[in-house]
Amino acid sequence: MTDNKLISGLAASPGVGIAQLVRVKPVNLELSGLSGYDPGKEMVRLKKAQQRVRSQIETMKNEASNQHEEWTLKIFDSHLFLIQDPELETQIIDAINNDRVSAEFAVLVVRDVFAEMLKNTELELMQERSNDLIDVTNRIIAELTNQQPVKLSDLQKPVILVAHDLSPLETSRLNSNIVKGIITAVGSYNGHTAIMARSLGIPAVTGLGQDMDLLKNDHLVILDGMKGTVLLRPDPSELAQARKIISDLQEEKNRLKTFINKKTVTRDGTVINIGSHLSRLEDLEKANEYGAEGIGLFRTEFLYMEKSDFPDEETQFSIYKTVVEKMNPRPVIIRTMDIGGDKKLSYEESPTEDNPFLGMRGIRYSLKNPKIFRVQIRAILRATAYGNVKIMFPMVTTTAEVHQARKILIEEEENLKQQGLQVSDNYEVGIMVEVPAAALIAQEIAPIVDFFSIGTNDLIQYTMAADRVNQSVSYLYQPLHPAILRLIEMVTRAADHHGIWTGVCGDMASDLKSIPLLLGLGVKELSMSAPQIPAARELISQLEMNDLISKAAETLN
Amino acid sequence: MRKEIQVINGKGLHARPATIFAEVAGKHEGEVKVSYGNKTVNGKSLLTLLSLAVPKNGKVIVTVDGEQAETMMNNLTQVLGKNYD
Repeated sequence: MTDNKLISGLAASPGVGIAQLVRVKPVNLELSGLSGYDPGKEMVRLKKAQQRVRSQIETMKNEASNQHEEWTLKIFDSHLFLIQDPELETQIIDAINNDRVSAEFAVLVVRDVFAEMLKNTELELMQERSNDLIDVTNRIIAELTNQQPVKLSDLQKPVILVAHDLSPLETSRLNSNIVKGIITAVGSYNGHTAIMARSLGIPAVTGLGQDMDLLKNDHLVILDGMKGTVLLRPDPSELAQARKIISDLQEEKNRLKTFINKKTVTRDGTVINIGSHLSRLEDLEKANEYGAEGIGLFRTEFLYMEKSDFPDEETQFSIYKTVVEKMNPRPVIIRTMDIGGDKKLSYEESPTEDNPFLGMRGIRYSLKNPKIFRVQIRAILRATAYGNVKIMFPMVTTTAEVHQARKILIEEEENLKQQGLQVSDNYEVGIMVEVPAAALIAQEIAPIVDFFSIGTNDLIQYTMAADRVNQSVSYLYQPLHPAILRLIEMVTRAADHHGIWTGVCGDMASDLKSIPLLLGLGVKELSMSAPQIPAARELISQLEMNDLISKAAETLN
Repeated sequence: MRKEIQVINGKGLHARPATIFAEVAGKHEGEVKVSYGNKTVNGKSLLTLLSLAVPKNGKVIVTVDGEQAETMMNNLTQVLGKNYD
């Protein structure tokens, strides 16, 4: 914008906020106190300040424990641990005693030495620790110099906070009734500020950079955490529009909330199961938060990616067991590794393929690498003893692949039982239908599996021969094209015929336009990312099965 | 007593194993020192442990003094022998 009315950053936390800006001042580190101080007195001041900061953090931790997920609380523990670091303390005391500097100056000098040291290790994880260190020591310095970092608890009227960066300690204390938004100059989508803001439900825009200078205290702005924008000097019509969005969002939120703990049932009583995807362990909390009726697609790739070696049986088993136990009696569909193609492992040499999506991936890779596959199969089989497990093979093309995979399953089950390890008697085995060939021979595959789950993303891309991320052919990526619907119908018909069930685990499963058709074609289970569940459940509650069946038949003809 | 121990963790002695190491060492009455390369640091301090930047499979020398040094050494050996990724 030429008049600098609209500035953009990263959309870090969704929602819209209207309020006056409050700039959060950083702790002033221009300290005096180079020499001539009484070590005894400074030691007392230091101890008192440390003690106060420690109890502040402990209080914050207790307050936060009600509103945050467990893992964000670990940030507080790591701060508490740093305050008590013996070397940090020893060196601060040394500086006070030997150089006769003020306590605040000693803290600043020593922490700079450590922060520099951590930065030089060039590891991202160390960087984070270095930020924690700066955060904690800033608090001690603020205590020692009577600077109030930000009295966020004193804020009375709604505000939007503006800061270079907010520390996790600061963000954690924010009250969403007062703080209507957060704007920072730095920070990414997965930075501390963004994570905390999302967990508190406060809209946020981060990474504003230089444009921060345009934000002045007390100015009224509209912050859009979905678009990642800040609108300065809004006029009455813009304000009215933003208020409308806020009330719509709130209304939708309240309405959808009522669907979180309901079962998924059509108006005429047909029960559908909506599961959540799980791509990392943290998704488990989300699944519960949004009322998932199971895990519909457990993507096991995270166990293999960003690692230095293949995960062993025990590591895998403990993760599968955690998920299965937490969900029990709800079903958990574990997809065996979908490695290969574009998902390469850093620790494995693999030949470069001209066409990875038509190459060695999914079950093809697993059957080619039985040693690696068997480790995963054993780990999953052991987890079956702890709940309701369904095993799913990805990228199946032929019946021979299913036979081979099942043979390995039977052999490993036998091995485990011989070792005296428990395996459940009633886990299910199914395949992901994403290769058009598998849909076309669904009649042949159905007798040898317990379920189908249609991976619509790849099924569409393979059927239409169109890469959906390729802009120039993305117009061909049409979920509701008759070619796709006929393939889906072949799968559900084969499933019905053989008395097994069909689910959908691609993006179509959460698409409100596709859901009526999918159910009309006979789909019984849907998997989507957890936050999408309430809206899908609400839609389904308004549908009549008879209607859906006749409409789907009409569409197909 | 002194012992050479290999760091098994996939990313070396980073935040998580170092934190656990410092926590365990912190319970010991006597001194715990860790050497890597030509640097020796206080094993009870997370900050100095991290500054060693020990990579995967790096070999550190752990020195434990005082009473029950052997038990402590065993505990610390276990910490370094685990994979935390």
